[in-house]
Amino acid sequence: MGTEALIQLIFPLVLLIGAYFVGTSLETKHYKSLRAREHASRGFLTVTFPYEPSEKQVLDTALVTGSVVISVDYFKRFLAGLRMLFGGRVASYEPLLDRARREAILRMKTDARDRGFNAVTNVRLETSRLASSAGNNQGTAAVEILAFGTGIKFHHEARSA
Amino acid sequence: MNHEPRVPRDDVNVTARHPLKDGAVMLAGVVVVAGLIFGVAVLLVEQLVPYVPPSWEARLFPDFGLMEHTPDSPEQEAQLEVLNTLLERLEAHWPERPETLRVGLLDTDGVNALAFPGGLILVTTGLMTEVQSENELAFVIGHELGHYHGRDHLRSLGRGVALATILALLGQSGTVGELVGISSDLSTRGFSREQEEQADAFGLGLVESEFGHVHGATDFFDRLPAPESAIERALATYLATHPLNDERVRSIEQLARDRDWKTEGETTALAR
Amino acid sequence: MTKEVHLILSNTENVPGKNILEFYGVVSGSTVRAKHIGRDIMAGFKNIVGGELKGYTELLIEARQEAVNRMTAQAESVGANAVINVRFTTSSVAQGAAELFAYGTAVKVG
Repeated sequence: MGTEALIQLIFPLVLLIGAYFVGTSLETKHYKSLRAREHASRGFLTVTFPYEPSEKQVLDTALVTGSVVISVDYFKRFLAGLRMLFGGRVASYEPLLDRARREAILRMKTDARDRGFNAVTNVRLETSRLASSAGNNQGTAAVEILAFGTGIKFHHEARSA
Repeated sequence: MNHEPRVPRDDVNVTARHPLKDGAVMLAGVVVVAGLIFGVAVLLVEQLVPYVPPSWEARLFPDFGLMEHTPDSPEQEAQLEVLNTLLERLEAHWPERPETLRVGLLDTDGVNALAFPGGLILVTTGLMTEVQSENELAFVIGHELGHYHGRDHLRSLGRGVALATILALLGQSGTVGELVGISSDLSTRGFSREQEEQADAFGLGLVESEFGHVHGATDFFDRLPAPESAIERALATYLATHPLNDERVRSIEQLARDRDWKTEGETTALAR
Repeated sequence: MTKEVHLILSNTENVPGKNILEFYGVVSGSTVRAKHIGRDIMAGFKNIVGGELKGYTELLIEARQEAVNRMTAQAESVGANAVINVRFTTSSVAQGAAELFAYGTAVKVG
């Protein structure tokens, strides 16, 4: 009777500790991958305004998107729960959103490049929260970030003036 | 305008706060605040409980009479008779008792006696077969009477309400509420140690008044099984509703010495 | 020597009255903020009578400013002196916590 209650207490603690270590290692790996890909793709023009190169001829345009759904690990949810009592910056969620956003933008760039475009303009970012299917108010279990923009393919040679 | 590809710094959108330290600080804060609120609530409960008349108490709780077992054998009928007589004899020494006190049987092999809010005391058939002398049984009943004397059910209810309020506040944060709920469940098992000790003292007092001495009152506990290993013992100490038997016996013996009660005398066998 | 960078923020495609010389890329700043339980309770009361939730307004203003500061820091790190096409989004990432996000393109104007 009493041992059940004790096990009930130990189980979430074990989950917390496990989530912390595994989550942190996954995060570190992801950041390494992000940095490498961002550095490699920095030449691919990406802007948030409707850039149209005046000196080059635009051949083709289309909407390109990149999206990712990232889940929050148990430890982060626990920290966020505590933070919501005291108020202030929820530091445990920030890397989550940072990673998701950068991943979404990279995927959008990849989508554009794979389809033969040279640049993405008018980039927009949208964030939505995916509620857990149980519908309990345990805080979100997942966040979706969508990056979309207009891909443009321009002729590499300059238009004759 | 020309495109100059540069990668911006990537550390702005994360806060360099170590999560374990962060979590530990916040958790400590929560524990402290919750503890304070709980402490104040308990104080309030302690102040208010003596003013609640026993008749109200019966109305606050559900009717537990449904749990009472009707004797289905002559042996059980005899047991019930013994219980009723003993209760009457002990009640005579407690004039301020609530009017709704009565005793009944619980049909199970486990050795236990329970005091329900409202005045119903249930003794298991398992206990009735284990107990050997009147003095032992009188102490068991007397202990349960002690819980009524101390208004322990109301206190537990008050404490439970205080905890529920805190949980409702904290519960908005999901996982934290879970953890607090589980640890609170652990810490409010049954009655508190002080309540149990007071019930023991009261019960022993009744036995002394009835028999003139306290010899044999604790013999029962010596016969009950004790925890085998150190781990079992540690778990049992923390999680049990009653204190460990040998510690309990020692406290009772000390109490008898303090109150100068006779520890030698004849024990009466139970009429079966 | 600390450089006084006066960074211009604009939500139009160019900085009015100036020319864009170079552009670097997308910069963004975000912050996740939670309200504390005190504000929650006060807001609950305010829900009954209606009107502005001043506590929340202040909270989100602070949070938005922080997001803008972070975006500015990113822009400065690439050597920009302006951010154009600035946009804001607010999204709920957990019940009780909101993410404030600001993004734009870092440019050099002259």
